[in-house]
Amino acid sequence: MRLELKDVRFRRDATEILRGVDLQLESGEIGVLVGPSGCGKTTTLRCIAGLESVTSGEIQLGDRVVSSVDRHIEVQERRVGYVLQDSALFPHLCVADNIRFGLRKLAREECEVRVANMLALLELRGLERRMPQDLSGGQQQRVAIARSLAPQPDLLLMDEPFSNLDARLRTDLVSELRSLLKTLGITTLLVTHDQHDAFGLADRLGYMQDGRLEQWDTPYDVYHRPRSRAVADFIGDGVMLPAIGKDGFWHTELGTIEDPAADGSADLLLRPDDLLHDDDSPTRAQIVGRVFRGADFLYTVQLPSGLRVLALAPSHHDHHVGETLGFRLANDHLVVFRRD
Amino acid sequence: MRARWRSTLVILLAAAPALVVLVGLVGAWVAPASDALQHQWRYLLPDASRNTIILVLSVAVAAGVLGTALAALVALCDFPGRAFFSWALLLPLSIPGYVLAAVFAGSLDYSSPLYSWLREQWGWQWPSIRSLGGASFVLTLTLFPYVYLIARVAFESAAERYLEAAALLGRTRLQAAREVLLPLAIPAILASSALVAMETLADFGVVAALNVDTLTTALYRAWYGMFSLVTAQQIAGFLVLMALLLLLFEHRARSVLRMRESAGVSLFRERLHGWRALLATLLTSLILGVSFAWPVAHLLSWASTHWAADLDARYWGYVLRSIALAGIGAVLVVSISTLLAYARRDDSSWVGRSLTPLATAGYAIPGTVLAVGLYAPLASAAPWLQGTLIILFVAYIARFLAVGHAPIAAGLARLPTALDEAAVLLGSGPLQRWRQIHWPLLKGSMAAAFVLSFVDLMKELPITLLTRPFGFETLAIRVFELTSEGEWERAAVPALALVLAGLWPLKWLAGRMSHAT
Repeated sequence: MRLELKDVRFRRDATEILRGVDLQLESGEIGVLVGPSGCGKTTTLRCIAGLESVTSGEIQLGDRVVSSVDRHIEVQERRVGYVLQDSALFPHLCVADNIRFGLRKLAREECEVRVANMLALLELRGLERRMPQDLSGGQQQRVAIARSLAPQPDLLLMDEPFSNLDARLRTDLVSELRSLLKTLGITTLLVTHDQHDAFGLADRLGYMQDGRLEQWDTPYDVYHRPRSRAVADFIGDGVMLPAIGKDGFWHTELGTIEDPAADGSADLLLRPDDLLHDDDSPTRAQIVGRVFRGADFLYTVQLPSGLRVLALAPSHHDHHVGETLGFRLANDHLVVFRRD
Repeated sequence: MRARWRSTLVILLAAAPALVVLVGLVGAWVAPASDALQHQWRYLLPDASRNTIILVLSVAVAAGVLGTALAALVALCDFPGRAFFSWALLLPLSIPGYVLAAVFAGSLDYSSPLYSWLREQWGWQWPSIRSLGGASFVLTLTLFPYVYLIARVAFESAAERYLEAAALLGRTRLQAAREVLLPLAIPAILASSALVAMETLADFGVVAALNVDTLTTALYRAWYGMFSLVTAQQIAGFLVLMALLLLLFEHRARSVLRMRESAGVSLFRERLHGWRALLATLLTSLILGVSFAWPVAHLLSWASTHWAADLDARYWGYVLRSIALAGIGAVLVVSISTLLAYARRDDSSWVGRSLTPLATAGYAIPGTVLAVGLYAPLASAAPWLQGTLIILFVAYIARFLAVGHAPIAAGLARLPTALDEAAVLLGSGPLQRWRQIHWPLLKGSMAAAFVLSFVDLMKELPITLLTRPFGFETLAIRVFELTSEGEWERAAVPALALVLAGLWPLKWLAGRMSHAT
């Protein structure tokens, strides 16, 4: 079901935690919020779930206003599923009873069918009678997701669903989760601090900072067309290259770049994939660091001015720290942040 | 290797009193039944056993319900006075059961001024406090804070996220409390109710003051009245059997408890308004009033009119003897607890694992049983012990070792052996390690162990009564003797001294509670 937030603000005591959040998530889409800790991601989810009342603004679920200044639909009435951080499974109930907890209004047979479906869907069959503390972290997370999905909510919220899992389990669960949510067609808003999870899951990606949603776009656009320095800094690796604009060109330490709008002084965002390794290139700089990432190397090179930039090279180009590396600019679009 | 052997010896010595008692009691059961016991079985024991079972069950259930209700109210709701009640509800712990029994017997008795006045003015009647129901009432009022304390910690340590998860799955706050918080707290409630049951089983002072026949009074009578050692030992064996059952129950409840400890955002308290808030404040005040304020006020008023009769030179003798017994006893308990905790740390063999619980099982065994179970074998093995305080101290240690051992073992658990290894690698010797690492980290636990056992020993009645040298009187003995003679008013002065002493460890208890939440 469609979710819309209009200028949502939330204040606790004297602190304004949300300072006007606007967001639209179409029915069946998966939205992901990223941002530094304390930026208001979790509070946004809590307001949507109804665990907090908004100070101003409006939250709309489908065509129903669920939160506004003078209206607060209770948590129990919202039909929102919420996978809380660290899962919060009831430790005195077995897996099946945890999943069944939200189904008490259903008839017995229907309830059993739902539980069986959930167990099958999340590959939990055989674990029905286990207690939460006897499960692995990944299994606990699956049970928590099953418990939230069982009542067939209109909207699913997830707070750091992968935070307790090791890297491998994480990657597996991310792709499984996306296909599961798409199969069910359930609208989902998820919070994570890991941008790789975000890229793997999101139809819409949002970057939050200081209680504001700085950008709300497709993952591709958030990465390639960041709307602010903060977004550019947080999402992906990158370096700001100082540039002076004159006569339709940006003049930089790495050469000139054509741009009809070039004017004044600015910083250009340089992603690692904007600088390609090229042994024949006249532009060379000393390697001061490198990270082997399996398929490729991420080199840090230092320009004569002292500025360090990142360059990507396929894995078989094995150069050592101290050598010089040749590279060329290969950016297909420009991201310019003007300096005033 | 030598150190390991030494540790095993320490554990064995600490467990020795409990072993002596158990072996002696088994021996007495194997011995043929005496005439006296047959007499008892026929005429006294059926009633005494029935009364004991009814008393233990009724107090455990009543204290369990009352303690849980108060804990839920204080942990989950906010009402006027909540902050005050949260610690004040521990105050009844400071009043020894036999003092509360004396107050109620003296003030609610048929001939008491209050009852006479109510009867004549309003025609009010109530059942006598000197009855099984009365004893159950008094014991519930002094013991419910155990359940309150432990259940409250259990409620408060259950994280808010469980309530939120339940709300998201369609539960109101009240439904969530019933379906999630209560089941989570059940092991804690059961364990603390079992503790209350053990205290009730062990009680001698309250039932003696209210003339209720139970197994402990039967034991006392067999020992003092009929001088029948075998009979006393056989009754004691019966009591120990029940105590061990309760101990087993408590252990099982506690093992579940450990598995479920969780942390998280603490509970958000629901603010009560209007008549609900008023009702909460009134009910809590009523319980605190009946169990603490009113008895203390009564003692004060009695003391103010009778202090002159009792406060002579002899009185300071009682005070000094009480403090000396409790002080020496507490030093012994703390020292042996410390040795035991270190020994247990070094010795993880089956001897250490199985004997340490036995050494600390004394808290489940009634004082009367320990007194009889130790006096008989020790006095026959070494007749010169009769008339000394040695048997008394051995019984004290057996009964209260757990009180001292629990905080010290907990303190030592925070001190991993890796710390010692690190210190050894840095070249420090044993003395320096103790002074610079162990003592600073353990002294708080040792102080808590000292205060808790000191106050328990000060209030202790049955062991002192049964094993003291002839004519040796303490405050507790004085209160007991004066109440047995119906001299309630004169018992007020020594009783107040005991209540005052009992207030001392509450600071530790309250501190530990806030630490736990």
